[in-house]
Amino acid sequence: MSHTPPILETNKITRYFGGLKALNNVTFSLFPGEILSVIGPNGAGKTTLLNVLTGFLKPQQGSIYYRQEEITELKPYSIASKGLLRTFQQNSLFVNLTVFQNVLIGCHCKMNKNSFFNSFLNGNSFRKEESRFQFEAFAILKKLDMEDQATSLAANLPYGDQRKLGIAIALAANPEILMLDEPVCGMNPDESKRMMNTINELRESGITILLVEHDMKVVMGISDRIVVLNQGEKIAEGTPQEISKNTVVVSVYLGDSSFVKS
Amino acid sequence: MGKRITVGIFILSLLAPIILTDPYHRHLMVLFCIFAVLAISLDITMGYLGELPLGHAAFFGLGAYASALLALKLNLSFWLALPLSGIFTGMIGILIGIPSFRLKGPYFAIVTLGFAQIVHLIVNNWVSFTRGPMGITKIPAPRITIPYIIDITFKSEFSYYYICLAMLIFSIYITKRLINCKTGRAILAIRENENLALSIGVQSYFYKLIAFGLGSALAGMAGSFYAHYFRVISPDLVGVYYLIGALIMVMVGGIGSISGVILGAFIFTILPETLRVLESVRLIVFAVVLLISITFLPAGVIRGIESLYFKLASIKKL
Repeated sequence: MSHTPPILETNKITRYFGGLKALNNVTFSLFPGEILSVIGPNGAGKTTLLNVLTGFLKPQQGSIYYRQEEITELKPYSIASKGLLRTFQQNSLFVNLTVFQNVLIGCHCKMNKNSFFNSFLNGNSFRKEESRFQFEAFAILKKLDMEDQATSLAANLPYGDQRKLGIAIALAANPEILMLDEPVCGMNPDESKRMMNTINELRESGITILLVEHDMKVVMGISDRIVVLNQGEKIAEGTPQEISKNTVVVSVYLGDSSFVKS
Repeated sequence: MGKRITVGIFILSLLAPIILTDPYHRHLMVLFCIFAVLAISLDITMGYLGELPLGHAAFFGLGAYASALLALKLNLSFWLALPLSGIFTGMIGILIGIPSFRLKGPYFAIVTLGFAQIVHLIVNNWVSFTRGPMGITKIPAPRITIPYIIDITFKSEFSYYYICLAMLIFSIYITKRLINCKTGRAILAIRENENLALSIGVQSYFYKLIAFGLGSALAGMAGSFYAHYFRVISPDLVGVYYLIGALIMVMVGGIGSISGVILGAFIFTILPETLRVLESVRLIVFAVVLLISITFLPAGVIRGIESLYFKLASIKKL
């Protein structure tokens, strides 16, 4: 894996909020096809990192490279159209629309012939494109076992299914890299296990995954590598084995034994 | 709402001026169609984009003036002045949208209101161009002339109604086509969750301008129809009455629903006529209607009717 070029590189990312250094010289690489987890105590800067990587925040210092192309200054929608997608931990859905409509909107970037002008003319090519994407959206729902909920309002979904829908929306946009923000937050062990399987399946279909997560069972069970943040700084990077034996990391998570792989 | 109901209403709208032959009723039908287009134009920004453009109806008055001036100063026929005034108000809409959409919610609302006031000031004070408070008169009626074949002037309520109805059907068609394509879905996505929309590649600023520009273009064309019907316009068209009227149509009728806002336009057309006796306190009546509607039917009258319909349908099943 270290011989293939990284698909994503961050170089000395620094982000302040007033006097607070939310991220300080964070440098790491993401390699194609791997599952990399970013972990750390609350306030470590994980969500800030995600926001910076996807263009929602600009770092005051440092740079980000996607396939060796600098994306640091790009807007979120540009970054998304290049194949870097993310989910949100809160406020993650198009609430008043149906599950199906939610996923269909995810296809936005791929739709080139579905413009308003074409819709106005309502010709055959437009209608063919529309059915193609509706088919694709439905296929994604099927992949995540959600096809029965297609006509439910997103607002009415149970919590676990809402997290799945968030991933479905990002999937619809054809990601090369998928960044998941605490996908198993609030899930029971059963749901967490199923989410882990889903994430593995996504990786097997060719998507590189960056996972921000608190749940150590998931992190240890699924990650190829782990990056540990604490108070905005990277304090460790390595395989789950290496991280579980890292004394600095253990002291930061003082006394949390669920952290060690069983 | 059921295909059969839609077809029924369409046939009814075609026959309406034949059934009701009183010129006054036909006049109301014309007004209704023009206001329905205005209501639909506002709903694009309010219902689908989810922003509140308080100053929206200024484009209505602006379109009326643009069309009148094009017809009188450049001798353009209505059939040219109509689309040109739509393009004009659409472009002004985008120009106003560019700074306005840097803001959201109540701030966006007030900025658009400010722009509406500016338009009113310009129309009222640029006397050499717009004749100011004296208004513009002798606006020509639409006319089709093909030598030896056709010579129709759309002066009567009866004839004018059908071109207005055509415009209304066109507006409904445009709105439906908008919602069922990439552009319309992006606009809805921005309304529901702008950050999520950004994260999947929706260029939100661009789509906000498209929604706003389309709405202002449609409003401008409604204004053009108004100008060539009444053939006299004054700066009042860019005034508070229509700003509030448009909002009432959408909010009372049913925000985000085509049939809802059309119902709202119907209410707005009929209401001043049924409350003739309260003419002097019209704006107060509007305020009361708005307050009652927001309190008891916040999703609009159309949703109240729909839920009543479903309740009756389920009672019937028992």
